[in-house]
Amino acid sequence: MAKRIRLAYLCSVLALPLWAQSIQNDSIQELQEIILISNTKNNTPNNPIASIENYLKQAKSIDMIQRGNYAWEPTLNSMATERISLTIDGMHIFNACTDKMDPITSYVETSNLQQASIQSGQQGNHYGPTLGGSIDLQTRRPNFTTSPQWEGNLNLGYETNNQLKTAGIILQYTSPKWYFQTQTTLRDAGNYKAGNRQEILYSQYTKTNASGVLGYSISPNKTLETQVIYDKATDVGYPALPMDVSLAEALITSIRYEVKPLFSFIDNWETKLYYNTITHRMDDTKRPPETIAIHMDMPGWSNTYGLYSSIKSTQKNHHLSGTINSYYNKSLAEMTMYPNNPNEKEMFMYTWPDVHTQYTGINLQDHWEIDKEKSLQITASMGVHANQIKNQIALESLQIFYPDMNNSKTRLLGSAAVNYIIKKSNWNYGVGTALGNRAPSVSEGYGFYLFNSSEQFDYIGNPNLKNEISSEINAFLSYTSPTLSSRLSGSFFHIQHYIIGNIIPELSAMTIGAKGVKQYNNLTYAQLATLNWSNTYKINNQWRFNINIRYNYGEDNDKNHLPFISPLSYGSSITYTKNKLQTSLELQANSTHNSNAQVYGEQRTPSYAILNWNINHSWSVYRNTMTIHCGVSNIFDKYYTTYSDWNSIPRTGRNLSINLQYSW
Amino acid sequence: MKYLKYYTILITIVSLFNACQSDDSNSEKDFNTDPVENLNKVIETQNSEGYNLAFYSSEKDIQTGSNILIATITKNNKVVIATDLQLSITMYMSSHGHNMSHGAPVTQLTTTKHKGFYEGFIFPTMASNGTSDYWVLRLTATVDKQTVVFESNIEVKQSKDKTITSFNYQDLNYTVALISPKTPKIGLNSSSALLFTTEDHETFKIVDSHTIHIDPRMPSMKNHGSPNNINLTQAVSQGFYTGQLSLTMSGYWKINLMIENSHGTIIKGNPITEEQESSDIYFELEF
Ligand SMILES: [Cu+2]
Repeated sequence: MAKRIRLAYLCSVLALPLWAQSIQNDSIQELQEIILISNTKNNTPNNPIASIENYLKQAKSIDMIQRGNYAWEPTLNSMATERISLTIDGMHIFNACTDKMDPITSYVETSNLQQASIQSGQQGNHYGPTLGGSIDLQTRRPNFTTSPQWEGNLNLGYETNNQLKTAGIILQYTSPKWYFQTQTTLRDAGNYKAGNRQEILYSQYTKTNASGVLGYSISPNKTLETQVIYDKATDVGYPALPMDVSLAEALITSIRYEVKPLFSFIDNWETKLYYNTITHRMDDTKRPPETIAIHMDMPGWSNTYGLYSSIKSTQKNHHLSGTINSYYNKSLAEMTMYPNNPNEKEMFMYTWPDVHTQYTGINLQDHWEIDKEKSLQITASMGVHANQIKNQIALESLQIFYPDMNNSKTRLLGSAAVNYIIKKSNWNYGVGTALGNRAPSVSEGYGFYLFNSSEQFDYIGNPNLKNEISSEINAFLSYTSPTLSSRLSGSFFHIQHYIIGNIIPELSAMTIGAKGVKQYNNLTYAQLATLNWSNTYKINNQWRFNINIRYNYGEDNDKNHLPFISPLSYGSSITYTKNKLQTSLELQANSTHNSNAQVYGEQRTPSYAILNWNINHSWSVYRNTMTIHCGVSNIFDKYYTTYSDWNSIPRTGRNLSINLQYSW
Repeated sequence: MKYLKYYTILITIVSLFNACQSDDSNSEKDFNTDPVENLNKVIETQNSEGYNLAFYSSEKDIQTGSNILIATITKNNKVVIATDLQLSITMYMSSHGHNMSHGAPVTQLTTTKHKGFYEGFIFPTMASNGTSDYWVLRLTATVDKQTVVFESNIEVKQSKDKTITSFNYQDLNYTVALISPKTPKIGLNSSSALLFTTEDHETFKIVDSHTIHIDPRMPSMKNHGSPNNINLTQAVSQGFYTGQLSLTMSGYWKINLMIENSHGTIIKGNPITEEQESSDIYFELEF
């Protein structure tokens, strides 16, 4: 897992051993990766100060596109938001920012998450269509206990680089009939400093996250649960972008009903109803006036109603599951520009035309244990995806480009995947193949002059886009012994009708300073591939050595490199554990990004290597636990930027962090 | 009679302004309704024979640029039928120290489906200014087999947007006036205009077979342009020039113009380039 670690979060290295702990005892789990995030009982060596993004990027195929120090955009197998399925407890939530400033991972906190479940490619189609795979963030959920009990956790953290201050509290009550948990986390950060103490202006942020979950045991096998997550970020700087964010606010609510078992042949039946609403307001008022060509307001809203119902059953050696999944999303964004001449009227346009998207689909899975050694994992799904533009003015704006376009479009989506896995003593190996498609995103289908500040082009959506169709093959080989575990895995995606922007020379840019206008179009195809090799060597009971290498590839049908494809990256760490002390030293590196997507305006980035060190120790205080984490990331204060840094914004320089955690 | 040729186009265009009830399926009902019920009386004058002339508009006043008006002649509060209607407007100016006068384009009044109600456009090219610069509207008509003449001073306000402009080319004076859109929207607007020429600044004729090139731009947005415009051309001789005006957003737009004659020569205006951000003739729209 060669990843560039943001020094600010040196402690995320702590999760390395965690990752090695990924649950992989069952062949079905060979196909997914679990990143453990937190637990009230502090029995996982996690770092509560680290952001969710720092946890996620430990995953083998996840990377982060950074536009500053906040709300990084995860990519899975080199595919970003529109090509992957991102859910929170199976709930679909859609970002409200037209400029990708608010991936939904930014609306949760590590302390309200238990783990992230990552599945590569079409294996991730459980909650809806995807090409690259799925990331499902699973929130903490207490269990009923035989006797009433209270638990809690208090944590405080500080990082020197950007004066990040964090404070969090978790309170939990469990009993035979009820459970209840509430969590509040505050974060406040100033500007960070890149290597050589260079301050990166407009990189501050303030975030509050609060959540509550209440469960009630109706009967021994029936649980009713309701959950609320509220997240509010204010004064968030995006140094790589021309604008900041004054408000990013989310309210995520759900009611879940679970029965297990039901009759004799159903292991588990879970149904959830959910609603979430997101408000996003961009802000250019904090920037120096001479850099603002024209003052503008750009708010966006996204509201989603949804439900899923999932049944699991075991029939002899078949583990079956069936899920129906439906959501209804409304995405609206607008832009008001205030001319420098105060006598002129303000200028207004819809950048997302109040698109209502409805998806209803069914997913079936069978994990068939053919015998002790061989198993087959089969998934299939089918769904109907419909877009409708509800705002007449916005529809007429798009009709400038597409005079004959209708206000609605319906698409049939489907996918199928087969994986064959063999376990033989120390060796596990498997091959898989899959086919799946996806509908264009709201921006791709209906965006109106969305400015891409990296390419300096305005983007126009295209309602006539064809679905992207992904044909995938994947394979893995792993060896596990008490001292060595090694795993080689890879995936190859041939994506027909790959959606990307083409320059339309005759169109005139809207954004002041933009070079021109691009329109989303389908390429004939593009091909992407990832190859990971990770190894953990247990030297003895105290020392463990870890090394990973990853290679990515992405080209379009004209052999042009695709943007945001990682160069060769590698990482290595050595960890010492004794009793309740753990310390590790980690190296993170990338080779030079020579395969930058010149055709798509991507810059070459040089190679880099950074070194991080961290230590954590815990003590028992009465019957409670006290944990301290410390660390230094980017020890040599290297100034560097990577292929996934928007506009080549440099990453954090040397950073010291300390975190105290008290659990009872 | 020549105006009959474009009468149908006129009606179509007119219906865009709600100036006249035009739902054909209800024409019987419309016929009985008051055609000027929702309009404002903008001109009223009486002549010595006791005939009363009134002009109605959907606007509150007469402004520079195109004004569509409904006219009716009454006597003793009864609508009378008029024929041979001849309309003109003239500006009398004295504010520059010496007296001078000039006309402005009009379209002649044509009948509507309401008996005794006539409609047409006037295109005042400048605002009036109290008693020093003022417009006089003249109408002659045949009513009750006699010729009647009306004359009325009219007040013309400066319109918010510049929608009329004049230029000279080879001894002729041209005036181009935007008729629609009056209330533009974001998106594709059907657009119409008229192009007039005059030799004596008194009588104005509609020019045929030219092309009015339009290039909408937003000067406040570094001259952002809006795509998929259709230049304005005539469907029939003496008719409106019609085309399509694209506006990507609300705000202040400069509609840069180029006038091309039937030989393909640009007689006025220039293309927009990086260096040349404006044509020397243009309309303005702000919404
Ligand atoms: Cu934004």
